[in-house]
Amino acid sequence: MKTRSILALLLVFCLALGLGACAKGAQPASTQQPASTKAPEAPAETAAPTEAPAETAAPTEAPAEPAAPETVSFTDDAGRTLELPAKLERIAVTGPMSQIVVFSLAPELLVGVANAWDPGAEGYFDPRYYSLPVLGQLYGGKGELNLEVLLAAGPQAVLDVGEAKKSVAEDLDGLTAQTGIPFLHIDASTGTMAEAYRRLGGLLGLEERAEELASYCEETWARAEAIMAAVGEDRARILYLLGEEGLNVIAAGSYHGEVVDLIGDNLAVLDEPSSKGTGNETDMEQILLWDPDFIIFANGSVADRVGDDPVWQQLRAVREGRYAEAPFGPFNWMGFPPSVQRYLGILWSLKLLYPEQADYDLRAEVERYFELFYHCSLTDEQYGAIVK
Amino acid sequence: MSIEVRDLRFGYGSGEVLRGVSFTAKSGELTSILGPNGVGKSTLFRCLLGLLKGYAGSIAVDGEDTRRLTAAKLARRVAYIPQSHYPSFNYSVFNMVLMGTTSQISLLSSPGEAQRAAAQAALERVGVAHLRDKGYTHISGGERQLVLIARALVQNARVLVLDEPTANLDYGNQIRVMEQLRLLTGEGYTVIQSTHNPEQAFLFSHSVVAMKEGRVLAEGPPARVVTEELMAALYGAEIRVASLYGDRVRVCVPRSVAEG
Amino acid sequence: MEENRRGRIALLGLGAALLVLVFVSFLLGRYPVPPGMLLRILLHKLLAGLGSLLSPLVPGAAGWGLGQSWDGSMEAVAWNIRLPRILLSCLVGCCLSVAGASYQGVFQNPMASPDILGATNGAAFGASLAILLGAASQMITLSAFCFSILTVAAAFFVSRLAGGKRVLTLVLAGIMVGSLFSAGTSFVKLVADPSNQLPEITYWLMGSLSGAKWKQVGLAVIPMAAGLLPLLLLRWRVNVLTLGDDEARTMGVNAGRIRLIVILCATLITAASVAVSGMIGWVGLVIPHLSRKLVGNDYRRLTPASMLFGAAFMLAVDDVSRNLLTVEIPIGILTAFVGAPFFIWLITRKGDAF
Repeated sequence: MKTRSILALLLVFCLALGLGACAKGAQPASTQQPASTKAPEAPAETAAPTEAPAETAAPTEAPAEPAAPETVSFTDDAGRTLELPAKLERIAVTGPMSQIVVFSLAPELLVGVANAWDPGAEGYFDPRYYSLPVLGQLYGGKGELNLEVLLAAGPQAVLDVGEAKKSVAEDLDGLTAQTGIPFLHIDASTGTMAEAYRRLGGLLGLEERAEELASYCEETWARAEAIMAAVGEDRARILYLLGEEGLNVIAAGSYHGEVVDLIGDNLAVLDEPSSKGTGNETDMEQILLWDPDFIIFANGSVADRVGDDPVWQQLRAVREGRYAEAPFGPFNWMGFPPSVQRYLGILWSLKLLYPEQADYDLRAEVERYFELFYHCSLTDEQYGAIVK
Repeated sequence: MSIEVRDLRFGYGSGEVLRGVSFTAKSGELTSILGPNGVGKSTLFRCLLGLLKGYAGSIAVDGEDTRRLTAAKLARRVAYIPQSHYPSFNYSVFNMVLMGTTSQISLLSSPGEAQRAAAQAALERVGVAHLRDKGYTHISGGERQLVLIARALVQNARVLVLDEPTANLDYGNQIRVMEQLRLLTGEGYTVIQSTHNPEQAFLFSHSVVAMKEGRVLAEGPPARVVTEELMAALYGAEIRVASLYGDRVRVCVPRSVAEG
Repeated sequence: MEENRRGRIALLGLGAALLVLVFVSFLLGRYPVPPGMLLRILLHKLLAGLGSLLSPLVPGAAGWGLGQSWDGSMEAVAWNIRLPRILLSCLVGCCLSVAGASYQGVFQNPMASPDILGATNGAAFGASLAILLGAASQMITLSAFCFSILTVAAAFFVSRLAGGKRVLTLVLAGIMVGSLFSAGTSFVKLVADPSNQLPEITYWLMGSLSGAKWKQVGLAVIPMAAGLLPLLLLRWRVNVLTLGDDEARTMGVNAGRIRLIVILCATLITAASVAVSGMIGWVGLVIPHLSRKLVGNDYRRLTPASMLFGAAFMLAVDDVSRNLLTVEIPIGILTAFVGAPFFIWLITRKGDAF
């Protein structure tokens, strides 16, 4: 009796799975019409599912792609040499850092993104970019990359842009072998962004556009340095605080401290600066000791509460209202991920701290940035929502 | 097959539990070990079964020192019948009996046809064949004890060691188990049991060993051991022993009751 | 004989269910591949593999295979992504449940599970440490495996030092050493970079088969086979061992030695499973119990039943894990979702729960 009921349960489970299979099988087919019409005896058509997303991407070339496109060798920044199609038209990315960089350079080539965009971006992003399918991220994150989802999106190459993980070569080799799609790594940090853009431009055949972005990065960095030179001795003594209670600090000289160190005297000089995105933990006594002129809080931290918090009122900067919350849209301008949106952070914070020396119109600068990197323009209302 | 215990000494840590125990259990006889709690009966049994090894003296089965035998070889000579118990996992009565054949099969194999036939025969022999597909924990205590006897029989050992086989049984089951044991001794098995019941020892045994404080107080036919003097000495209580039915039965009664 | 027949039917049923599930799992996936095409790819791959094996003997065998009417992505999906993952989930499910069943037997404890001696805690520490040091996936697996074995070895050594009742001290030592290693894991999590390492560690701890590759299948199958075979062969002795050491010994079974071998093998397969899949709980506890309900406590049937049931269960759960949402759901979460309520039902049910 018992045996039979358990066997029956098992059978029901199998059936349910089978039904699930049919449902699942039908789903991708309906979103990608060419796949459903494909017949096994028509070899020319078998590439159909991978070409489906290309309809929007490369309408001029889609109809008659030769079966064996010519390839080129490319050596990535992990020292791996790979064979790539001469012209890359469909690419995917491994994580948020790569996503921002590749999106800024070649949004039309992306077959999907690693993480969904911030909901706030829906208002100003081009809908076709905002609605790119989410493929998951390779390292960390909430879920690993589902390789079948990635393959179904049909990329010709997958780009990993950012700081190299120690194991990057081995990891990417394994994925390349498993999927048959080349996975490439390109080094990048805020300071070396221009170089990364030029590498990517060469890879994707978008040298001109890459040069535009690269020189923007270089110019902005140089401009910031010029402003700081003009400021001279009057560098603001600042802290960048984050965390639920505002008790984490980005230390001077740390990987995430690039921007803070540039725009003022980062008071948080610690013996062991943390390379983590959450910085070092500190406490109120230490912050009182540092006694900063100005505090920048990360978005979502305590900025909106310190005004009437008796403890925070002990701080001169808070009492005098000399603090601000970092703008967020569609990423934290000052913080994570450590990618190109930080140039916005530089522009914003310099204007905030040194309005005399930073003699530019922040609104115009942000607009230019959004056009260059996010391929969209901001309304006054949207701008106001981001820069409070 | 007889079992011979010579000057057995054993201690846990500092305290000596067995202080020179000697006796012989003969083939075709039921030997009862009688004695109060904590007298070393369990320790004696553990030595007999090869579960304790660090003892002085010797235990020989048909002249062979048990310490020289492997577990499997000893199992084919001496079988243990524990008190009916509840194991962690429930097995069918048949499988429970089948486990007795383990010492006859190689390490990596499972019982085959021959072993199954032996198990079936043993179940029939002790009269519980009708229970073969029942769960071992679902049958009564007396039935469990009989199943364990069947398990000992398929072990093909000629010496059976029982630890208070009737301790938790009702009167009817006590008699059923004891009669089964008497049948087996009739077939030449050497049966050794421990018991707290001198009347039962008198009734069913061929030989009684009275143990006190790790020593043998008396050994011999029941009529010589189950006496007023020895019982009083053994249990440290005033006891009257009455003889009934032409001394086929002896009854132990506290003196205070007997003499009002 | 009645019991025997019932057991045989149950085993056949489980085997059939597993086969159906393997087939169904092969059809399931995010990448649309027509079933006919899948079979052709499989057949082609098998023929080609056989051909390259036989090529020194049979002239022309190297060129065996079907005409290729599919593209590289389909082949990658069928052969490099789905098949290794299906095999790996079957292996992991099979090993975890057999390990659980075996531990339950030799510890005479129906509540024992594969992590009773700290094997999973050790693996978690090993993996976290490797992630902290920036190791690649192969090294993470190896580190998890080694630390898993090390933990159990340490527990065994400690219990030897302690003496006393073997089984009890061993279990206590396992709990102690295991908690020591989970403290180690917590420490590693504390110092790990929360922006990339910490999520990776957390994700690993939740258990997943999403990284399944042929290489891993090849690596894992060796210790798994080495551990499963003795467990299958010794299963009658495990029956006797469940009655307790003393009784087992009087029936001619060297309880201490058999237990050592069984623990060794069960640990080996647990370590190999956890190393490739991360922490996947409940399978090693729930599946042996379900198998007990199905075929009884006799390890002659229970061990093979646990193998089949475990493989089928893990495969089914992994199918859900990789198909329910676009982003993978860690399988350890799913097994807990399925396992914990089921176990509550099992133990609160009236009647012969154990």
